[in-house]
Amino acid sequence: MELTFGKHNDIYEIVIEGDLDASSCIALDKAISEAASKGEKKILIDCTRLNYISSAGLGVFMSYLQEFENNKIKMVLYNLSEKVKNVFEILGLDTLVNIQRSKEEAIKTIDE
Amino acid sequence: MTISIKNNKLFITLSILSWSLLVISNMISVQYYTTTSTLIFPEYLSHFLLSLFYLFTFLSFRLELGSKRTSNFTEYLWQVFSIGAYTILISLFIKFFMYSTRDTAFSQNLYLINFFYHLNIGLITIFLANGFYVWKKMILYQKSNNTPVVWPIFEYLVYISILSNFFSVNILSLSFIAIASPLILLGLFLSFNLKWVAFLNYKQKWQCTFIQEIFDKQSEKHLVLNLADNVFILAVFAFILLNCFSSLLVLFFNLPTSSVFEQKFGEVMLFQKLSQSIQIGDKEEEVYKLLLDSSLNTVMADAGWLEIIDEKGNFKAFLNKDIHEIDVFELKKVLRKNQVNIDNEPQYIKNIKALKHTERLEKLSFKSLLMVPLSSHNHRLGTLVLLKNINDGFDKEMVDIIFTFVSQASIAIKNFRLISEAVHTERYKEELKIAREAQKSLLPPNQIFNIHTETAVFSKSSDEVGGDYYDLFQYSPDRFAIIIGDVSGKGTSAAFQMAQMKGIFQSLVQMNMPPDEFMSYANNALSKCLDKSSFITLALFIIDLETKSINLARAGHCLPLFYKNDKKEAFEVQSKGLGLGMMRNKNYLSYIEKKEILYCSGDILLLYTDGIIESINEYNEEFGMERLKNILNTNANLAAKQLIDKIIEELYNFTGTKNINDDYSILVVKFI
Repeated sequence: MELTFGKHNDIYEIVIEGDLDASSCIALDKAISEAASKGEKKILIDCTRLNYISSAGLGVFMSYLQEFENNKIKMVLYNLSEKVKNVFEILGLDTLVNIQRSKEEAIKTIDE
Repeated sequence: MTISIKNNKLFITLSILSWSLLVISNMISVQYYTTTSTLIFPEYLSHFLLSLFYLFTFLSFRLELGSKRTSNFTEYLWQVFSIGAYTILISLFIKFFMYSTRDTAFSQNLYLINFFYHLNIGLITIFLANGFYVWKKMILYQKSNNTPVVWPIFEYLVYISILSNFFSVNILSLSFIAIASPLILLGLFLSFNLKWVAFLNYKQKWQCTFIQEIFDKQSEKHLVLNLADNVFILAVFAFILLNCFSSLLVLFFNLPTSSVFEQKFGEVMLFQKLSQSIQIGDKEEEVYKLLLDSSLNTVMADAGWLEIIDEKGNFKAFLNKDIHEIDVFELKKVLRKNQVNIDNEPQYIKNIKALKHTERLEKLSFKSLLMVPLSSHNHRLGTLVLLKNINDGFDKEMVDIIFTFVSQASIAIKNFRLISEAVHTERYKEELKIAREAQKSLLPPNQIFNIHTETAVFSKSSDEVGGDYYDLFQYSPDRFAIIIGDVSGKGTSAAFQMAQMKGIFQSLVQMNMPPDEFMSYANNALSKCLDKSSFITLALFIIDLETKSINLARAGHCLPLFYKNDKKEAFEVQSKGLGLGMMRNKNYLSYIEKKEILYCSGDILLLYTDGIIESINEYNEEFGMERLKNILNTNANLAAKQLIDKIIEELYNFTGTKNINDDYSILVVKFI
């Protein structure tokens, strides 16, 4: 699993590539945590090449929900595959995490 | 053994016999010659008897000295020496006797002369045979690739040259040289097999030198006394002399290095000891002492110390010899002040006094320091430090030896630690087995029957314990609750959370509340005990046999499948829900909906965890919801247990293995 980072305007972008399982989600956790502590308020997560997400990976996203709400940090995931989107929907996590179809739509929601 | 002794006695007898016959026949010839001036016996008779004598003497020595390898060279050399001494003495005595009686009639007696002549020949032959076979022993002591091949050739050639007796050859003639040269060349080649010299210790080498000198002199003396222009005799003489000469040289030159050789030998023995100390039963601490002592002794250090740390990096042991702990402390301080890396790299300091800040070390006599860290697989195990009272006291040889000792000891220490880790791991494995049994007892039986329903379940965890959960509660004969759940993750922590879930279910379910409220309370209870990124998916079904209804709530769990017998088709039961632990506040209730479905006879409720549909085959395809639905549709007529067996069978066929990398469970309720 590989993570790439970028910054465009005031939006911090994380690109996830590969499988998010128990071992690789530690890196994601660290990345999000660092971004938050650096003061990023807008975090965009590109899931185009995210193949698979395990319960550990889901746990990572879930664990930041309360903190982000408290600190007014916005996190948006976009371009999820059908399979991964389905996982979020069954869990009901799609109602808590902002999921958008494309990058444009994601940027639009994050800037609102 | 007895056969060869008999043979030996036979050879000795034969050789004495042939010698006696030789003498007698010669005597008779002499007598006859003096009277008739002709020879009575053909010339070749005495040649023949002489050849036999040579042959049997050599053979008997060959047998007596045997083919056993021995390192007792000094003993054999003494034997050679003593036989040589006797033969020389007797030869000298004869010489003296002849000389002192030269003016008497005695000396003119042809018989006497003849007899003494043959006696001399006998003595030389014995001397030569003995020497020849003792040298054979030495040469063949350490066989190189060609000695076992070359030696027999040489030996046979020598025996064949006995036949030269039949031809009296001029020593300088071409034919003589032609025959003698291969023998001499082979003899020369063989005499350079002097590896046996290395195996003697210093004292033995001196003894051998001494004996060899004498033997050398004896051979020369014999040669002088009894010159024989016989190829055989000359070849053997030459061989013996050559050998003597070369081994004398080698012995002499090996004397000074003898001590080094012995020391190397001693070091090898120490390695053996160190590697043997890895055996179970010995303690790690014994390795420390062995390492420090052998290191100090081998390089003749004046003082030293050894520090050992444990797996966590904490101090474990400290041994010091001939240096106070306080001085060790001071010395380390000085090294640190001089920016010497005392932890990770070997260090060699030729003169400590040349460093800075050595005021406190003035009273110490140490000048050179060698420091070697012990490590295994990049983990530091400790440090060994050796000190000497002279500048630059550790040469490359010593440093190499210490490195080797240290690496051996490091392996030994690492092994001890690995063994004790393995013992601990065994204990953990036992505990896990106990946990497995404990978890099994938390789950209800596999099959439940009553008049109206058939329930069966199958559950398997990926490790010893897992996070899948299912349970049952009977409110009344007509009403019961079934729950299925899945803790995020797997293994021991999931198993603990599963046990908590059971507790929460068994208590909350008694309150007989609607399923969505149940989920809300459960979420509340779990919010405090689940850890930050864990969640539990759950689906609760309250089945009322009287109203033929199923009231359910689905907290993020995989969509249940409901097979309708009238439509002969299964469909997913959709309902809004959120996993437990995902929203740890009162708002949770609004995220979950309750649903009611009515059932008819022949309908089937199929519950499962995501381990089933997320299993993959070799092409990385998932088993998936569709496949599960199809199997349910095709096999709906089966009894609950058979249906489950069929699904599991299809699952294993699909994945190609019974090892699924997650916990997986199936629960079937068939309505009769």
